[in-house]
Amino acid sequence: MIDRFFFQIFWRMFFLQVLWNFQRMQALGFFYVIKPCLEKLYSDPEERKKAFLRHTGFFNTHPYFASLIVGVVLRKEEEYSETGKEEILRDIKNWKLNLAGPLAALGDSLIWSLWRPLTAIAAIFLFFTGEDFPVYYPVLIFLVGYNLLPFFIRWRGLIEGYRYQEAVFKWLEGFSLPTIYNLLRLFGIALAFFLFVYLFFFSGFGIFSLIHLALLILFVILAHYVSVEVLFYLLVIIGFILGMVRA
Amino acid sequence: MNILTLSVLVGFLGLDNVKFGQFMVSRPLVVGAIMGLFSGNFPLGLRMGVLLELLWIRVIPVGTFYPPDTVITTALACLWTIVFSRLCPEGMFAFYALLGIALAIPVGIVYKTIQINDRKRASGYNRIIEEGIESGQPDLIDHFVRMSLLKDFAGGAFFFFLFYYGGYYIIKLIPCPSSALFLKGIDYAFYLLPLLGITQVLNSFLRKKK
Repeated sequence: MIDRFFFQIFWRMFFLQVLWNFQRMQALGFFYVIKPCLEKLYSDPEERKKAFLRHTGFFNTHPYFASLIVGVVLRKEEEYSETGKEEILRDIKNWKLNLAGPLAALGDSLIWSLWRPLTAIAAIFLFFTGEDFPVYYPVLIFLVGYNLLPFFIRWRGLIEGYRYQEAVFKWLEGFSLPTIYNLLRLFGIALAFFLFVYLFFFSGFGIFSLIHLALLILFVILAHYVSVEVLFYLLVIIGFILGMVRA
Repeated sequence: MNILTLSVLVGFLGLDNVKFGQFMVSRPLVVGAIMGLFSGNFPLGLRMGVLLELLWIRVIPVGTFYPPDTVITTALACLWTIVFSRLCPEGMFAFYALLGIALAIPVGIVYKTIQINDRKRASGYNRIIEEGIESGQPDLIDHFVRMSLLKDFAGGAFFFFLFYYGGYYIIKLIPCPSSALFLKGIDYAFYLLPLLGITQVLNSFLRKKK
């Protein structure tokens, strides 16, 4: 019954973080996402009110992977509205919390720390090296390339979460994520390294090439301790002095 | 294109940062290209976007962490660079690009604090919406969603508009440097900027996740 609402839920998933706050994080967003389904499932005003209040509690996960939890919760709510079994309510509360943490960690490492920088560095690499391509290609490649994965996760996650419920991790296990993660990571390192060689060694090897290499190592180490904004000002000062010495 | 229209555009792009979608149209690469496109110098806007994307490639609002606003910072840095590169003699691009970024970063930090305060205030909505549900007004959440989007859009647009002119008059007061040695130093500092970006990428990928 609820699967007819998937397009509406999918659209509302884009608003998951709209009312993000320090107290309950994505709680109100989650309620906003599943509200139309709850209205459909519970025709009795009291039951509906209870269902609404069930989903205003603390919730926080990765905004793309949240769709899996939405799928699981919708299926459970549907079951509860049909059977009225109290243990399903306990399941809803437990699974919302139990799935949120691991999926947040997965999303952070896979999307924020890997997929987004990787698609960005691929687009930037094209910007610096692809003189034969139209000038707008880097932006196009970044936007299309990046969004393929989030759209897939958001849509399929909703469907598979609804289908597999608690066993949704079995669906994720089928992707061999650690292998994919390591391969993409190596690809990203290679792209960054080639970009460095292209920009700072391409015109010839000399004392300044070694200085660039030393700066690269120094800033990789500093990046662990200092924000990029501070590093920007530091690099401008170092670059300015080096430029004057070079002249 | 006038600044008012660009402000509206910045307001819309800013929503993508956290509140709507996260399709990454709020990333510097895209914001820079859009600013360039709408202010008549797409290649320059894209170039600035690429440099700023490299700098902030590891940075994105996640959970309680909110970095300096990349939309406002990129839009301001791009526009100041484009405008002043047009007004000044050839060879001044690097100077205005660095000056633009250096001035835009503190603005992004100020806007970040506004966003954090907004998140603190939003904690009060939890109780209001729950009371709304209890008193038979569950649709209150739809109203809050619309208001939150509108507020974020208007805030971003106004902030950009205000600081664009503020920065514009500050940069106008700074005389164009004429010393060849000074400009060589600036050019070299600008040339080195992608290096900082590459260190950020390496730093992100070299940290193996468990």
